[in-house]
Amino acid sequence: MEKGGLVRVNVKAAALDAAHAPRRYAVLVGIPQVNDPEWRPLRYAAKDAQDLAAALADPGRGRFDQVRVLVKPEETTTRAVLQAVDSLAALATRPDDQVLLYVSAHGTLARDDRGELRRYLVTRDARLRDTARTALSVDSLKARFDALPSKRRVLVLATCHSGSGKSLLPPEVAEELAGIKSGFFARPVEAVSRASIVLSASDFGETAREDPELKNDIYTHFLVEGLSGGADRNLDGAVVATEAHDYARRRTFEFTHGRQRPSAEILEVGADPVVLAGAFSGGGDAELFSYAPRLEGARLTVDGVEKAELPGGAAVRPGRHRVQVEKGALVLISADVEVGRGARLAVDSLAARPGPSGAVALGVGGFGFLDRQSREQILPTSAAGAVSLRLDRVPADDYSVFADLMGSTGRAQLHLERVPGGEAVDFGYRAVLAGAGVAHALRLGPVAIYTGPRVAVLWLGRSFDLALYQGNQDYLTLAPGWMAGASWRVLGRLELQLQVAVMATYVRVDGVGAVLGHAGATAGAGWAF
Amino acid sequence: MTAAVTALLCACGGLDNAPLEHGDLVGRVLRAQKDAGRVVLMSSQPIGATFDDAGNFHFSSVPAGRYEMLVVASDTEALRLPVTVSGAETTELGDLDPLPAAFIRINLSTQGEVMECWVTVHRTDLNRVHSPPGSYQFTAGPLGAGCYDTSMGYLQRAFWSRSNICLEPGEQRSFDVEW
Repeated sequence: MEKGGLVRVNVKAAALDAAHAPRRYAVLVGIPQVNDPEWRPLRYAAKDAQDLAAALADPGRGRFDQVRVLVKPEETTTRAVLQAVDSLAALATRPDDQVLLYVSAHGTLARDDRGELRRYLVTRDARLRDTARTALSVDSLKARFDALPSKRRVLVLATCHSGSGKSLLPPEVAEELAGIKSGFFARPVEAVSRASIVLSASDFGETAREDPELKNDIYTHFLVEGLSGGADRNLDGAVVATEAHDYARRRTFEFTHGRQRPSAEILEVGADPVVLAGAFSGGGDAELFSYAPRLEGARLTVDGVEKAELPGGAAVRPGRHRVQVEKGALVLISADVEVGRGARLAVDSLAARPGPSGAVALGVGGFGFLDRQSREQILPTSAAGAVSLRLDRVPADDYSVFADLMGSTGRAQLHLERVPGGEAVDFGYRAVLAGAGVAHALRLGPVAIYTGPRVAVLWLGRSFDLALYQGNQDYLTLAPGWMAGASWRVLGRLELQLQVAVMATYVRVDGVGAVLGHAGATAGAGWAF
Repeated sequence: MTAAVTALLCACGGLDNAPLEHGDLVGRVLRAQKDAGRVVLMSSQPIGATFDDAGNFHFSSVPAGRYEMLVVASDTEALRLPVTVSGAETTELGDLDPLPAAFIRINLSTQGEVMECWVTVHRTDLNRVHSPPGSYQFTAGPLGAGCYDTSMGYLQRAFWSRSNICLEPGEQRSFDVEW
């Protein structure tokens, strides 16, 4: 008797797809008026929320399943906004469900109970004299937002915290910040965000503005404009959050002549982008982007052509490309990548890949015995040419493996101890030093310092063509030791190298053996790969 | 410890400096008398060579280095000159023209046995030179112009010495010694 089995059911594929399709929810908050008259009204905060809501709900653009607009006084208190966020948890229950939370409001800064300077959104019931207790902490908003089951979340803050534009600071905070010229020191909330995209209308410490001509918050205006298709830079039919932000960011920057620079922080965004408008057509160019704070201000170049300033992105044709991120003269990232149609690649992830895996170099230098007697009676210090190979991150990340070959040939003179006052003995020599080692590597951007054990084989050949003695003498010995070196990536793949090694060498002369110190040094230029 | 390190280190072949530490020295002395003449490389252990009929001399495989060479061409002519013997090379001095010889004479006044007394010119082959029978006069030479250390003794014991006796060509320097 069977204890189990399959039951055939008749379900249409389209219905099945619809049941499992990711759902998209948006909550848009506009707070134009605050009860405390200290904060002046915002003319377009409600309109900002309504305009963006219209774009998101538009079947031809956003196609969100549910769009909720909160602009009424009772909907825009601290408690009401947090409840609205919590309500999303009951709707967006699956990881691939998509959630967007938008807030257009005053922003401000205040010290919390522990004295830390934090960002606040000025809700309807916020009081300027008691901001920390009455306004909506961006930290707490983020915490609620991050607790949602959805892993595709977008938080858009059309606000600022600079004390100007859409911001007003408590008097004591304003006085404290007045003396700071280098920007605010409070930790941006984005730094603690996880699995979210946070888009801000202005950078931390900058001013977000409304514009009477646009009749919107400037950033919001261009964000809505971008959702109409203008932001789809890779022409794949969908406007994803990063595309929309980059479009709004660029246009805001141009519109304000550089006075407002919207920022974004994106963490743990997987291969699935957050689509704000349109739908993927299955084609389109590939996207290269980065919103990593450490790359801010860097240039993204593709195949030698500057494509964008980071944070931001650029569309490239599918295929293999040489991608570089440069800041000033420094090449922060350099990688060859293969991107397919519609692919999205965070270029900062390339930095985590093993970078150039080594270098080959040609150099010049010299080697010789450390003691004078050996230099006089075996071989003087000799100039040498060298070729070296370095493999980085082998056998571990902090290590490099070296192999090098140093050669020298020429004529020299011996000054023998047992011939006091005698004339020097002329001879020809050939010396080859082949070494290998494993070094611990300390990498500081384009500069790396290495040190570690090394072993070398020293072959020394001497030839004499004298009246009473003609002959060749050959000697092969092992030379363990220690090496230290440095490399400096000066330009692209060009690398300068410096290396010194000290070795112990067992040498037998006239049948008598001794362990002698031996050293070599080279300086060279190489090609990093 | 050394043995352990040696065992650890592989070594093949060898380097040999010994062949470079000896050389040859050749030359020819003008007016040399084969029977009376000789050439000496002055040192604590002097090395000597003789002439052939033409006055040629040949030092073979002598330790390389700098020497003072005493050339005694005949009973009346001699020469002192510095030479350098190069390792594994034949050093050729060419023709050497001797000068009038110099001599050191010592007149001994003694009540002892003169026959057992001797004179030595250090760093030359003039070692324990005795006086002619019945004579109290000792003659050391011929010598080339230069400076010498001399001593006089009896049996195994020296009882007189004089350092840095510098002679001119043809000079005969005399000393009176009482013992």
